[in-house]
Amino acid sequence: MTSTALNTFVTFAYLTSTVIYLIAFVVSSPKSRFIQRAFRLVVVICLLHGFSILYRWIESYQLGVGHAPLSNLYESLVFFGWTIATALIAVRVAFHNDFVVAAGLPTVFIVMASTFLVDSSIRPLIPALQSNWLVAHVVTCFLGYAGFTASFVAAVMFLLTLASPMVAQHLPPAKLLDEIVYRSVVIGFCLLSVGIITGAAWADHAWGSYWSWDPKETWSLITWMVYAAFLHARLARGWSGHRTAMISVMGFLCVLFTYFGVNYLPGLHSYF
Amino acid sequence: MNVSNSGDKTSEKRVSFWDLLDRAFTSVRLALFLLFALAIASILGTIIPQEISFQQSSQAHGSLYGRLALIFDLHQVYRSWWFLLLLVLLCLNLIGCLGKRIPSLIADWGGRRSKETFVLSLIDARPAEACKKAIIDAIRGVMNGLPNTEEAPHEYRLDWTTHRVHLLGFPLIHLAIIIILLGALTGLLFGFKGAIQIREGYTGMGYTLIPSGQPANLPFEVALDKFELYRYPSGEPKEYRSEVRLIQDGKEVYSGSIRVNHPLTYSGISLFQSDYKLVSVKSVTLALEGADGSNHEMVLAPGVETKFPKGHFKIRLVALDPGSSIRGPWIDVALEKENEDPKTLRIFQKDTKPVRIGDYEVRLKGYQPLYASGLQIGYDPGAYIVWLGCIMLVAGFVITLFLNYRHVRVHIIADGQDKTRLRVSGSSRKMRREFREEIEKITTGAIKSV
Repeated sequence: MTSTALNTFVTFAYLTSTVIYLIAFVVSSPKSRFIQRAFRLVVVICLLHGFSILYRWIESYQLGVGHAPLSNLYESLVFFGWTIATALIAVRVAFHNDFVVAAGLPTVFIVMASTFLVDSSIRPLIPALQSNWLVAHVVTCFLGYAGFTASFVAAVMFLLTLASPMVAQHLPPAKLLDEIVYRSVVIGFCLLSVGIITGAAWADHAWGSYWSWDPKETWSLITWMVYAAFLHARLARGWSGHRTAMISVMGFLCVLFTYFGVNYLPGLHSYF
Repeated sequence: MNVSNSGDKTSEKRVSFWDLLDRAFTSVRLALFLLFALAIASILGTIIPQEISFQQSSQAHGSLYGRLALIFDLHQVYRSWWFLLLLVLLCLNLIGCLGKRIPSLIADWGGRRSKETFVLSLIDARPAEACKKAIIDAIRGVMNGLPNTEEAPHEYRLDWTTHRVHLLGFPLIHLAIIIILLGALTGLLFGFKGAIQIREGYTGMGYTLIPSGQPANLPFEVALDKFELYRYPSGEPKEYRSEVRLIQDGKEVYSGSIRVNHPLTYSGISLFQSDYKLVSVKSVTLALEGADGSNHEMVLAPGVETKFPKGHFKIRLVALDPGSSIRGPWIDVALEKENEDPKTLRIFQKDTKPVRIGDYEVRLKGYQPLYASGLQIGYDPGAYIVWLGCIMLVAGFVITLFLNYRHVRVHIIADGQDKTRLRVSGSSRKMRREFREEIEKITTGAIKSV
């Protein structure tokens, strides 16, 4: 079995676990054993997903082109899916709330399913990517993205609770959601900063300038500034609730554009 | 009658220019505005084509939009006067906010000011000494250690502080951003960037400055002895390598290789492998098959006329294409024979049918490429300042994320032999509610109620 086949299995396992989670919410009470088991299933799938990434690393060495599985769109999508799943599990552990996991899992499924559309073969590493900075840069950036994704999921649910009290009574309390929106952004912001710094260090080493206003660089800075504005609005001006939730959604759109949209603009990151 | 006479004594508080400036640059509102403005400006820079040519810019003068775009430097947003202005304002804003916070930071650090977020008043049914011991035992677990104790007759003041260094986290992060911006400014003023293209076997010194396109000279000469291109079996490039020697005042001062991700630095100036270009060929090899079945190999060098082994044809290389057609690489050769008009022939490498020249069937066997290596030149004295800022930024994040400034004060006042009053107060920079609840729980658990 190849890691690609394993990823396909993992993708549908995420979909299945989402369905199981939703059934658990409908038929049983919160904190019931059914829901706990559904969560454990997600943890197992996430571990399998992590194993699949490591397995692809080993496979690449067997093919004689050994490199970390973070070198093209397929591999980065698989890794992005894994970081989101990990972030959701972290949210569940920190805030003891299952609903955010259930609501976030479809995002993981969509990210993983989109890997079916791109070339999944293991290619050798082009000269520009042959650097030890690759792992540090990609891992920190995607963990940051995952934090923002978790914040986005909570922000959307928060905005839904405002939409109608009918919906609100089935969702976690607004105060908790607001807290998740904020704390996920704090973690994501720190990781994105480190990701931008490692990227700048790498660029300085490879191209001789730590910043060259390449579209991906610029968009990561735009994302950074939007979340910096989020933190200042919240910490210094006391914004919370729907206004910070809106900034979180806006920031997530910037994340998506940084990741996908930029590929349609010319630049140095064209291999992602 | 009681009429206030303050009316005839109104004084107008003059708001000076400095007050206004102070108010503007110490406000977070300005910071929010600047962050959004910089974000929008950056978006413009990725949408509008940057680095347009001189011709495009003169065309742009023709239209109103074009002229506006040139005035506002929309073709070079990140170097425009207004983008730099926004960055300078951000810098001033950061300095203003930092400056405003320093007095309270010093007060917090020295313990002269403590913002208590909760206060708890309790009464214990024991003498003050016993009560003090019970409270210390209860709280030391949470606050990691023994308190600073002040004693006065009939009263004690206990004081716990954890992770005071946490207070430095926020100033450090903001100072880091200022330092990064200063480093960028240093690079902009004193650094330079350029590109140089050197042919294999040649020496280069003059380069083009980026982005101005002005010519400039390196303080040393770069001799490119060899350029090598390695490929994976699948055909993708694996490594480019320039073997270079640096020559200063006629003496060789450095010799080594430059690869992608492995630059060379000499006297502060770094040379980076950026790209390569096929500029010519060293030689082209043709396979000849004579009418009698004899096989020959013929090597053509550019600019040299070569004679065929037999017959009177002379052949000269005119052009080469490294392989943009499906028939593979091709060459154009000029053929000359006495008493005949010269003619030009094109030979494709992948053609199955050979080309006939005189008595020979001719095939293109291969060619030895001659590359020019494209190197980037960089000199940036501001980079070290930027890295210093980055290290401070990361340190600031670690301090704010993983440490927490917490503070607990207990004031114990003896009020008779078996009555002691306690005032417990404290604050935490993070997880406030959790901290308050924990302190409440352990202190009320520790006292002996009346």
